Amino acid sequence: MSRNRLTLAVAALLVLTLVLQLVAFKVRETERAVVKRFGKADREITTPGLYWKLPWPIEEVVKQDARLRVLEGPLEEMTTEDRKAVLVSCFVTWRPGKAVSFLEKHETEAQAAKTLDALLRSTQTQVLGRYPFSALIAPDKTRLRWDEVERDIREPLVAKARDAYAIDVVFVGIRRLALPRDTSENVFARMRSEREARAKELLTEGQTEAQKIKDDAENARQELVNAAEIDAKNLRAQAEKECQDAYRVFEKAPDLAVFIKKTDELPKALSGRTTVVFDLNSPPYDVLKGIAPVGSR
Amino acid sequence: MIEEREEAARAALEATVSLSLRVLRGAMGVLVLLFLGSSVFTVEQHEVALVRRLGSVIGAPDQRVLPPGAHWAWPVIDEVVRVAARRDERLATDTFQLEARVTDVVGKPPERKNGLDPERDGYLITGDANVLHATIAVQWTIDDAYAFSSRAREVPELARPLLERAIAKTAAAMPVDDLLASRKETFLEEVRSELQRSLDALGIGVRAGTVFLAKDFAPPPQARESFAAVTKALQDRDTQISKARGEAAEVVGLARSEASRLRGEARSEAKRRTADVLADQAVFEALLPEWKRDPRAVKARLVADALARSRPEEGFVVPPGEEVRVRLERDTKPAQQKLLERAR
Repeated sequence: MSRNRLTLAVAALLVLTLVLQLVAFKVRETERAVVKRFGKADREITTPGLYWKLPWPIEEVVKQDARLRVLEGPLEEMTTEDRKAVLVSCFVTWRPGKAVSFLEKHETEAQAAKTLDALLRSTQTQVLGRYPFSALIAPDKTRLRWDEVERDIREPLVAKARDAYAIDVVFVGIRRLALPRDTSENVFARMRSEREARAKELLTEGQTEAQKIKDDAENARQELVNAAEIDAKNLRAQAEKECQDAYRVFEKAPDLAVFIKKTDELPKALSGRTTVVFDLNSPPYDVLKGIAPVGSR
Repeated sequence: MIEEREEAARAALEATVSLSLRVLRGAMGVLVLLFLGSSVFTVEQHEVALVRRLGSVIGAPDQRVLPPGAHWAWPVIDEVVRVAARRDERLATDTFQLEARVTDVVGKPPERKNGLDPERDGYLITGDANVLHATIAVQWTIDDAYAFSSRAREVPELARPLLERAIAKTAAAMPVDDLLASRKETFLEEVRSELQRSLDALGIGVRAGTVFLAKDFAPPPQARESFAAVTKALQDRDTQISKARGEAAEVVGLARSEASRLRGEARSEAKRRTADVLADQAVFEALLPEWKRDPRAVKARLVADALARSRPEEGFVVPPGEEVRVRLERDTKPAQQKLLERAR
């Protein structure tokens, strides 16, 4: 009896699994699903969960990956408003929009990408023709209009892709700029001449700067020496000032002061390789009168 | 006899069926165990995981991301999604680099003539319309595993064009000299910020880390020599300035020494002068009373003292009224000696 119950349970489980496979399906957060009845889209499921359907061939489920993917456009030559040729490659981050419409309009995802590519190329050509070259290349950020150009491509692309092709465009960007081959030759010639001019400018700049540094140093030297000379004069003047009291004392007998000074200087004048001839009448040699032989040494 | 044979056959059949059922039951038991065992899963150290139940991620926003370790999920109805969110990944782009060609010599910079073929050779256009090559990379990590798993398939597919856009856009607003020398770091930081802004716009939970130059900026082969000349001119300029600074420092240093010497000399002279005058004053005051009495005696004594302090080489005293002839001769011996040495 128990054997029969087990067999029945296993059989029931197998049948249940088979039935569930036929009538139930799961939609993930990353997916959208379309339920088709006899080939015609019946309903669209965008919320994740477990759903029911009638078994095949009555109903059939088609799932779409709702995650983001990227379409990279090729480098395409365009002419800017100021008649300059430039190669631009844009990209679009996108995902399927309304599931039923997407299914109707595109046989495969690759076909949807091809449609979007054509749409992107036509939009970018129109938009870039309205902007000068300087909108894409500018010497500083404030003059660059890159965001504006991208916005002008994105807005019509988003609307057209959504309404006409059930494609949800999330991001549009310019990923590469290039120059046509013959233009790049001219650019290299200009780069060479600019670099040569820059090299000369740098050398001149170096010479000017070096000369300025030397001139500044010479001025600094002059200032330092001048300041020291002034200080030296002040020190000497200060010393003279300190001697004023002594000079006032000397005024009591100026002859004596002068005599003291002279006799003070005398030993300095008579020292070293000097030969001195004195008159015997001159003091103190007058004491030698009648004593010393003439011409003593 | 026949009945006995039938009985034996029935018994054998029953035994076989019974054995088969036992084997089947055992197999089912094993299957049930395997089924229950498959509901336990592990998350590796570099990963986090999410569990989708019937398609929806389960758990409150702050609890739905499962850390490394062992976890449990219902078989069949639950689905485990693993995300390598704890690992720094690297994404590099060669879009702005010269294409490697068979004619390129290994170890030497590639050569190109005439214009560049934009389909093959990539480059950046700078804000002053110059052209540069570079390979730039970014380190990225998944910050929000839920956002990533629900909106993205893989990071490089979505992030590479965004990185290229950030590079092209940032370079388009910077002069070539900034990129080659002074503002590389600024450029890389601006690329990172721009990339992060666009990643945030996609809402895929990816964080851009460091942006770096996998291959440094290089001028195109057609203008390489001119760029090298500028580099040399830059070095020459710096050398000239550096040399001038050295010379200036020397001039100022010498001037400081000279100024110090002038002040020192003046200070010594002033001290000496003051000391001399004070000494003269002392002598003056000592001699003044005597001078008033007998100036001749003071004079005589002062002269005698001075002569006593003098150290002449020779001295002659001439008696009055006598004729004296003095012949002064230079000592010419050292000069003659010098002339002889020179002649030799």
